Amino acid sequence: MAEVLKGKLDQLPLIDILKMLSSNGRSGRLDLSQGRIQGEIYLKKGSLVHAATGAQIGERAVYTMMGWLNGDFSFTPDVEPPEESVELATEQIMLEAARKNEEWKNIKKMVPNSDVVFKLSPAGSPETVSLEPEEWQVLAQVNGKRSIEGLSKILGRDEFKIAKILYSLTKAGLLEVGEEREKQYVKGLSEDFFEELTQEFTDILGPLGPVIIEDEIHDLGGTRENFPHPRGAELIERLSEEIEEEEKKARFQKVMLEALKKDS
Amino acid sequence: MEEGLREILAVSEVEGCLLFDNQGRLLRSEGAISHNQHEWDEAGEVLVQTLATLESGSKKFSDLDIIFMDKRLVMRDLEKVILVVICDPELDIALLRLTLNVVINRWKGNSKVQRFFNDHHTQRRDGERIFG
Repeated sequence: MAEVLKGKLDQLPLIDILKMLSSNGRSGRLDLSQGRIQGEIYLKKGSLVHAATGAQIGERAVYTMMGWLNGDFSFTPDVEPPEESVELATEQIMLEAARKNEEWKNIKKMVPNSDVVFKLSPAGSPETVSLEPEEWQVLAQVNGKRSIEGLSKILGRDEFKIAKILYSLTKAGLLEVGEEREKQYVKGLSEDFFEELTQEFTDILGPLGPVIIEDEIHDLGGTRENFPHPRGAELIERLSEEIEEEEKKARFQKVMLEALKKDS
Repeated sequence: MEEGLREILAVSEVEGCLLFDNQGRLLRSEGAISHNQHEWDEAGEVLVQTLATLESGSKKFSDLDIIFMDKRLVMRDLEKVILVVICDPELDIALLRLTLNVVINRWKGNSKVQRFFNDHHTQRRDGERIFG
C-alpha cells in the first residue's frame, strides 16, 4: 500500500496535517515517530477514530503526539483502524489541539523537544511559591536525568501536560533546563565492537548475518558510524531474536554483553 | 550466586535485586534496599499472590515488568525461586534483560546455585486458593 504523504514534523506540524486530511475527508493511517517513540492516528472519512502511542490511546494520545516537535510522519490511505478509541468529535479535538498548539509555541521556546531534561535550581525561587499537587508530583520526580518523555511515563500524564508544568516551575525559579538527553549519549559503539558482532552473528546465521545487522541498525535509526553505545544492548537483544537455538542464543548474548562492557 | 546478583546490581540504575522462594520468603538480597526481612517477606507474599493470580488465568508468566510511581520492578520466574530487580523506571531495560539472561543461563549450569535453588524449592501457592 503506497504512502501518499510523507515528511518532517518540524516542517509540517501535526495539527496542520490533521486539518488537511480531515478537510479532504481522507481515510487511512498516519504513522508518526519522534526518535524511538512511535504513534499512529487513524482517520475514517476525515474523522479521527483511533490514536495510540505507547500505552496512551484515544484523545490523550493525539494531544501527546501534537506535542512532538521533531520527527517523521507518513500517511497510508485506506488502512482500517484496529479499534475505535477516540470519543470526541474531530472538530472538538482540533479546537483543543489548536489551543494547546498556541501554548506550545510559548513552551517550546524553553522546551524544544521531549528529550530535554530539567534539574532543581540551586538558587531556588526568590519568592514563596505554593504548588498544586500535580506540580509537586512533577517536581518530586525531576532528577536532572529524566526527560519529559520519562516523566510522562512515570506519572502517567501526557507530555504536553508535563511540559506545561515544567515550564511554570522553571518560570517560578524552582527548576533549570539541563542537558538534552540525547546529548548525554555522546559515545558511539566502536568499529571493534561491530567487527565482533558481525563475526559472532555470521557464525550463527551465515552470510545473511551482516545484512540482518544492517537492517536492525537502520530500524533503530542509526548507522555503524554513529550508533549510540546506550542502545547497544537493544541491538544485541533484537539480533538475538533471530537466533532460534536457545543454546546459541545464550552464547551470543553472553559474548556480546562482554563485548559491550569492554567497549564502554 | 552472589556474584550473579552483584552483576545485575552493576547495571546502571538498578537499586537492588532479591531472590524469593515460591512462598514469597526472601532468600537473598543485594543492593541499596531495606534490609528488613519482615518487610520483604510481606512484599514477596504479595508478589507470589499476584503471580499465582495471573497464572490462574491459565497463562504462564515467566516475566513481569511493572512501573509504579518512581520505581520499576522486573521479575523473572526461575521455577524454583523468583528473581526480582528493583530499579529506576528509565534504566536501559534492554541491558538489564540481557544481563538477566546471561546470569540466569550461567546459574543453570552451576551445580552450587542449583543445589541452593533445590534446597529452597517449595510448592507454588495457588492464587485462587489465596484469594478465594
